[in-house]
Amino acid sequence: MNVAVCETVILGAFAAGVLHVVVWRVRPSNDPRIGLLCLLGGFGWAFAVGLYVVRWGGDRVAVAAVTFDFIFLIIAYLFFYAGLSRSVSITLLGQLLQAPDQQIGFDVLAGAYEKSDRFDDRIRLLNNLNLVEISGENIRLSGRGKVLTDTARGLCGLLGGTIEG
Amino acid sequence: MIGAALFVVLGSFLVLSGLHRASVTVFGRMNLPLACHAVFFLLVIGGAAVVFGRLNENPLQFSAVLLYLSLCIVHAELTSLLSRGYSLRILYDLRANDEGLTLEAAKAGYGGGVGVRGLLKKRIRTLRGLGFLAFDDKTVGPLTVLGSMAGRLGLGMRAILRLDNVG
Repeated sequence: MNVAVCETVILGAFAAGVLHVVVWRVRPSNDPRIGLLCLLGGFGWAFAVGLYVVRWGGDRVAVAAVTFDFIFLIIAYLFFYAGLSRSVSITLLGQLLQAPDQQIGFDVLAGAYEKSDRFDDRIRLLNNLNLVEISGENIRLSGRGKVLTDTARGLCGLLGGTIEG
Repeated sequence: MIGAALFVVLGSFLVLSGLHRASVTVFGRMNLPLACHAVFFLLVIGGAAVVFGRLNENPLQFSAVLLYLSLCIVHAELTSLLSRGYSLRILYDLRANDEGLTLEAAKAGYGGGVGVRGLLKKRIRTLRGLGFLAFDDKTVGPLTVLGSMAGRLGLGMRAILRLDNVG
């Protein structure tokens, strides 16, 4: 592997990573902000490509190498971040870490989960994304939500799974 | 060179997707989900080796392998999201009720009637399967060393990014 490409990709990823942490710390949000994260990834890629062109010239193959490597880093981080920001499993592990002897009765855990606003938070998030409509006590799927659900169902059929949740 | 690398990467990925789909059909009928995961893992490794070998003279050899792995991650993430997505399942439940549901009914009927308890039980069983914790259907925990490390890493990262209201 070309060392110059490797160095450039690491610097671009570092720039994007620093911006990510700063923005997330300065403006915390319950929204996972995947779009903004992709935008920061795009900035990191542009920074890396710009840096490579300025330092070593605009070799197309090297720019393609920087792009391929950067795509890998962004996708791998998005995969990690999606779990980090919304994973029920990580929350469970965290609750056990704080529990005496790292043990909790299942009924206690489930009761606390049912009383918490995590389910409501998901509904709010889906409402913010215009996927559901809330009118009074009633929640129903929006037109956009129906399209997404039907697409997901089709994709599930193509990949051979079921929407289990 | 760029075109050749993209051709090999996309070709290998399409073969992986096809073979994985076939394995899901075969092992799904036999109710062997772990075999599907094992096949996917082997296909990823095998495909990466094919991409690396095919692009022997190409300067994009290493980057092409990374691009191929990116596609594999997208495939795995998409499959996981479709099968285990919490929000997607809420939407799916609402799709079956055109008049809509109250919040309490949506919570109780989550996952086709298993409710939030069913959701938690499924997650805990998966964590047990991964060797992160002990679970005997009544008591959750204690954590294993692996589970403890994963939990600390997750909580630490959430604290750094100030992700307070999550999963």
